[in-house]
Amino acid sequence: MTFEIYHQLGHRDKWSIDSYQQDGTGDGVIISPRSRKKANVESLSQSVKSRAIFDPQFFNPNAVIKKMDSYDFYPDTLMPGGFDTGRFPNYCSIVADNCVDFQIKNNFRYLVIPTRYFDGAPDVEQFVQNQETNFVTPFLDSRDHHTPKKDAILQLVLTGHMLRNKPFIEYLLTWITGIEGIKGIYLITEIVPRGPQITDATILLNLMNFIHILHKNKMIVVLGYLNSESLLFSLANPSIVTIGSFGNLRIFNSTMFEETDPGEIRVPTYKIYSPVLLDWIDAPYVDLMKNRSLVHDKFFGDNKYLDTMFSQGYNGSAQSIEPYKHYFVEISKQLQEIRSLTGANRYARVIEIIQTAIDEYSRINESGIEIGRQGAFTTQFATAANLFARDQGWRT
Amino acid sequence: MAFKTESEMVEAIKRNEQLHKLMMSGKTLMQEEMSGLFGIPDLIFVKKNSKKRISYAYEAKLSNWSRALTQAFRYKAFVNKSFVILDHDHINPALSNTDKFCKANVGLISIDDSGNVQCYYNPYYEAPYSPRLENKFNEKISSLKF
Amino acid sequence: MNDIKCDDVICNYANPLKIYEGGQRIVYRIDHPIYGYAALKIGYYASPSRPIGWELARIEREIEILRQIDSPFYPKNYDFQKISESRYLILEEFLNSPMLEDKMEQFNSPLSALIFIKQLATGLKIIWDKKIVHRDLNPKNILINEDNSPRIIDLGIARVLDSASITQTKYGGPLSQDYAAPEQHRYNKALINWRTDQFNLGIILMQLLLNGHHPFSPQLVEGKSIPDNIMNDNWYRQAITETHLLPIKSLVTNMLSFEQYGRYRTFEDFMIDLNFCLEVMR
Repeated sequence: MTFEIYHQLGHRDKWSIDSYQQDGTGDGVIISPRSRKKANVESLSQSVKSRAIFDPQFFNPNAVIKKMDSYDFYPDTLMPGGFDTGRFPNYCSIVADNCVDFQIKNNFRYLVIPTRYFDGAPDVEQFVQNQETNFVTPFLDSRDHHTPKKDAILQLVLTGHMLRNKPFIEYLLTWITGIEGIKGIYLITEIVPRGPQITDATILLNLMNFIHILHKNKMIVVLGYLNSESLLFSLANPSIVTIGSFGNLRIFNSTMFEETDPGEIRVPTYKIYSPVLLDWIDAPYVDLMKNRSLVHDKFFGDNKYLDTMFSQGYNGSAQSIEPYKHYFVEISKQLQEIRSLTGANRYARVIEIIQTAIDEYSRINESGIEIGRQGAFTTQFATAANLFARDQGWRT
Repeated sequence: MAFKTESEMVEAIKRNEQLHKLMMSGKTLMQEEMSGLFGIPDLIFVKKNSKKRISYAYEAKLSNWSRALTQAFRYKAFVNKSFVILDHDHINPALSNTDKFCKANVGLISIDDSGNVQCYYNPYYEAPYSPRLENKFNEKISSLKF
Repeated sequence: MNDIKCDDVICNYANPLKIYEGGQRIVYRIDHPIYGYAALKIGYYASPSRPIGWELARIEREIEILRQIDSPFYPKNYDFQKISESRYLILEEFLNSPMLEDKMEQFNSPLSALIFIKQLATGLKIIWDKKIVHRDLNPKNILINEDNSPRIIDLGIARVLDSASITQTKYGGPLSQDYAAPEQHRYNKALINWRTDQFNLGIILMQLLLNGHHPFSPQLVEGKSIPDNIMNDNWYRQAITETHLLPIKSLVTNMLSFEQYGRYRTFEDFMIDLNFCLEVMR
């Protein structure tokens, strides 16, 4: 089954939208109200909006941060005295009406039913009850009073604790697949602590199985805030995978939705995505690899943005546009190649890509370039892929 | 006896005469925690004489040699020689992996709280591997006095 | 044995003929001036003076459901009354049909079994659409009409998903332990939905294909008991590896999935696969 590629929008979302529209990287966007004011969402072209998914970002109902205050559906804004868990059930219908109204008026592709973020692994029955009472029921009721009736997808944030808790996940799957009125799930994962890549094969496999079960139930599965694991998760047949520019759009962190002082913003050196290594490599290391002739021509891909970054005198930083546009082009190429394959063929190609990465990291480490544990995720990806493939009967 | 904190270790390194003997003789410039490059070295030394100038970076760690090596390797982007300095009480795991230090051309030194320094690998001089960061480094030190 | 007082009631009806006498109720066939033959059910409901008996709310729920339905798949309800001495009276369509339990051999070919299950599912959809779950599907609660079509009876423990459920009294969980889905055995009321009935249907389908043998029976797959085997996901999978049953392997495996999320999510998806199996079998 093929899948689509969506840009996870955030800071500098114009880069993502331009890449989508001009470079053909992707099939749509997921809009972030945290980073784009209401008027600027409304003024997006119909061609963008009709393929877009709007993420209400209700994760932390106590905070309305950055550009979210331009919207009229946040509980903290609507409720007199601010958000209060005890009083919220009295307001959830109004919140739902306003949020549904906004999404339908703008003709987004789906109606997203938001979720509240919960840390750890709360009591699953209470978790489900909370989601049902405060979000699912009021949003579906509101949807039924609007025309046209958009297909609804339910947002869900799974933490590492939840993913390691089999009874929790099974109860959740039973609940989700039993909800009438939704077409699918918009799934976000938060693994804390973690580095740039997920290095836990158990969590990766549990996620793949979760996605696979939803797929078997013929549900739409949108995977948000993905990093290189999008390639791995493609094996589980999601409907949409995401690509994001900055690190916080490829790795979900709930603290982004807290009203905390950001502190001094450090601007690190820029990184360049390598489709061979499946990760972003610090620019100085890229220089070193090239100088030592460790990398072949296509090691970092092949596009105009890479040409710019490799040109004499390029003085980029983490705030430069080229590293991100380059990433969009290269990851899209990889995902587009994979989505043209199915089943065992897709697995064969994905495992080949991962194995190549493993071999190349090994070669780089052997050469004396100390990138530390940067490539450690590749063996975990391989383990998860192989176990999943075995369960599907794609390998013995 | 082991150091209690890395700061304590860094202070000991700064005062250490033996360490300076490992470096080229000449005028000395020292800087702590120089940021805005590629990682933040605990100590930077630049030694200058009439013939040449050599820059040194030091990453001090109580025990985590592997992480120290990764960080010290970063500093080679803008200095000529980079070192890991470990608390002598925790040097053995690193000694089992000196081949990694050799391959990476990163120096390995231990220091104890009596100020005794031992060098297990002294890296050879190399030009920094990132000309861009080397220029940036030079700009930073140009405003400092030897 | 039975001491259900009924003389004062049946005397009001023509030609009463006792057709069933159980611990909780007695059933007569009577001649009704409007409906012709009708079934007259009299029983005690539970009360403080008489704690043994069905909950009145449970009986009323069944009546309410039947009155909403006007379908050949369900018996018609004509009347319901609370009468003296904590008794109730139900007047409903008289069904002179045998139970599936006694007619299983009629459906032992894969094609006939699938047709029967499809008819059952079509009938059940009427209550599923009303957010009602039967919860007690088993060969005793399915009657066979003359044309071999099913008639579904005994909605006594059916659960209306949108309303507060009846509190379980001393009857505890589901009435038919041998047909109950895992979530019923776990008394997880929150997870009871149409997929619970789907599991029951899966058992019935397999039972038809196995000439009346229960797929979870220890006689087929060892284990301590049928309910125990249900809870251990231990059923006679071997049967669907036989060549003539292979086409329905996927259908049955899904219907009998231990976890609800392994069963068909929507009725439409279920029917697509069921119809596909029918086409293959024809």
